[in-house]
Amino acid sequence: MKDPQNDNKKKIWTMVKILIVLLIFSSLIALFFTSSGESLTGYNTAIIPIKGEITSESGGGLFSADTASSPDIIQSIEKAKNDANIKAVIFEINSPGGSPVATDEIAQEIKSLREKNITTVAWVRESGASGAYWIATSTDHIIANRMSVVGSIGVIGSYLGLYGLMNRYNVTYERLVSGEYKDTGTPYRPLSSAEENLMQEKLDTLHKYFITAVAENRNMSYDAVKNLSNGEIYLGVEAKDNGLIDELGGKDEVINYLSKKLNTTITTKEFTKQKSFIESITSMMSKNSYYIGQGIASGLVKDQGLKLTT
Amino acid sequence: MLLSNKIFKPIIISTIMNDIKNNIKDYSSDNTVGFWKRTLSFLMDILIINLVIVSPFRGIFSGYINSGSLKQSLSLGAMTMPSNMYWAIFFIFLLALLYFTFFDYYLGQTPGQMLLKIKTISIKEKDGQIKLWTAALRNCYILPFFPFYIFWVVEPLYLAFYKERLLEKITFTKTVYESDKQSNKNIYKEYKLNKV
Repeated sequence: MKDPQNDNKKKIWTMVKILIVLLIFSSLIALFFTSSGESLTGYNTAIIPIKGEITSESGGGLFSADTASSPDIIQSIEKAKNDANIKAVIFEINSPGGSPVATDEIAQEIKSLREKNITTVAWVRESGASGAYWIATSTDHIIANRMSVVGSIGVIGSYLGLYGLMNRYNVTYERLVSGEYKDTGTPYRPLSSAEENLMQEKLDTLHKYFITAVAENRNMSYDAVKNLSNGEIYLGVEAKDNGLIDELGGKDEVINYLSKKLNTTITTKEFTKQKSFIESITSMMSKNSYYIGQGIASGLVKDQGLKLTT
Repeated sequence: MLLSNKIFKPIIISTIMNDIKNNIKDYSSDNTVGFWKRTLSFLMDILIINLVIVSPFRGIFSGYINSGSLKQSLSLGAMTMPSNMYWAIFFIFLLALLYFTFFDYYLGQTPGQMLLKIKTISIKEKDGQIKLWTAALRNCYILPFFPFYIFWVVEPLYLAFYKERLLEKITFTKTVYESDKQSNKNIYKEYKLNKV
């Protein structure tokens, strides 16, 4: 006579044995994939673009072109830092610089990647000037094209003074302030010499910070950097000679450098801020608006300032 | 006497046989399990597979998913998925096939079926025991490559209309209620009669 209880026990025990065997097999296979040395996700290097003017506001506003927004870039750096697959980060730089605060924020965040032993490389495209150069110096290695524009180690606070135009049309500026320097920098009146000295002091302080950062990051003396810090832009080939960059080249040279440094095949993945649907639409609209405006403006204004073209 | 044996006996026997066939057919078809119960047992099995087989791979996949790569891969038609990922997914499905095969072979029922008191039997065997290759064949729809993934569409539709899967028809297996042992014997008899 069959014992149903015994049968049930046998059944459950067989079930458990089969589940254990399957669990062991799947664990062994998963272990094999993680220890095989090759990334299952297929990438080990992040590319973070830094393109456009560096600002501390999120990009994609209705009337602005694309900018290098520090909150967005920091978010991408954090994502790379927390991704276990990432062994290196390439910063693809094409920026004329921008806000000193945003620049410093990004530079500090790049340095924090060292804590996780993540190698960083700055790959300068057309332009890596001013704040963008400051950011590039925070990385372990800088590679630029021989014709890239780098350097411009200086600070600018210039603005258009409208008082001449206002005088012409009998427009007056009614000054009502409490605090002598409250409206320093207003375009509606000229700067007094005291104000000019004050603003110059601020610019010199920022300039000092800039030079100190470059000297520290590039392992150069303060004086050596100061000699190169009259705001001059340098072509890539000049920057290589005076020690402002490490290597001339492009993406191939970046990949070669990293593969030698990390002793592995480099597979890249771009890390950018994931745009929501609304952000994508407004970004598209802002680009269209910007280019329409740029098109109209270029017809009206012949002189667009210094631009190196071939 | 001899003439009646030759003429009448076959007629009588075939009439009785037809009668038995009809009765058994009506009775045995009531014992096959319907679509919803089988779907529920399958979902339970999927949960167990998720726990036992997929969870060791979770750490590997979570990095891929969290970085947005999965979204990117799906939007680009999965052609950007690295080859290692394909192998990992293949092994998961292979282990899932082994899950269903081993349970059908050793116990005649998966844990999901056990909970709902249904089981799988072979109608070719007297004791209903499924052979190992039969169990593997009836569950091969699990495999995620051509031509097996065609069954992902065919099997549910066939089950919905005919109360059995196409692969079950091919492998002479059925999913029945555990309790009704008499009906299960009748299913075997029916198969034998049909063969005769």
